[in-house]
Amino acid sequence: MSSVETRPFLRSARMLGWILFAALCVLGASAAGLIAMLILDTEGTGRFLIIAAGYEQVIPRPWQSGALTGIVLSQIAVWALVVTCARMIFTALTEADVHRAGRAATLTARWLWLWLMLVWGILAFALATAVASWHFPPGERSIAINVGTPQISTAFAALLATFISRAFVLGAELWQDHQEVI
Amino acid sequence: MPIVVRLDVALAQRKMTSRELAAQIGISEQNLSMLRSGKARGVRFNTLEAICKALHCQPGDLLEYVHDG
Repeated sequence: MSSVETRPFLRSARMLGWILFAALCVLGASAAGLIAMLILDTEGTGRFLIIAAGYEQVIPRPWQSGALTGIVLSQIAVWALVVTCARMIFTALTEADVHRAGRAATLTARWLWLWLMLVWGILAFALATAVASWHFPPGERSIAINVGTPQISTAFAALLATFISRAFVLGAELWQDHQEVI
Repeated sequence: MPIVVRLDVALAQRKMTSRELAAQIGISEQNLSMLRSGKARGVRFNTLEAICKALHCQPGDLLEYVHDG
């Protein structure tokens, strides 16, 4: 005699789960592609990443190419972790386990989005600039901290995700209450 | 909880099984079992109405307040 229709919600949750799974596949393919690029054309990959970090075209040393690829792979890994946790939310919702969904939402928002994506994003860029400018003569090497639109957007997204995770926890409690009232 | 559900008594008096009642009022046997055992946190008015209609009784016949102390 429940008055709450959950089927459309569960259908949406299932669909989002699939979209996030597709995103995970894309991230995996990107990582595999980058590793393949590094093996096939170490110099070209390094040059491409140095230009992406905002420096002029130079011939990088193999260790620079490897280090920059490692930094990019770590960023992909962070994204994959966030997407995996976000997928856990929707998998739990599909299974109608709202408590698990609430816990996954809190983990995704507070730890992964805010700390890993924002803080590691800024640190990774600083590391990338240090590696990219390593071949410069002493005095011209640099470590840059980039706080721009992507970082501000990530911070806002993290705040929104934190709020949504609280809504999930509250929703889980309301769901429990709803289940226990016959 | 000081509110005791007397559904078992009402069912026995009418010689009706909980399965029959569940089917008649449109709730799952599991939910009816929760209600009978007092594990439910609450009961909706429309559930109470359906039970009273099926058993031809009053809400007071199903629920009883028992003093704790």
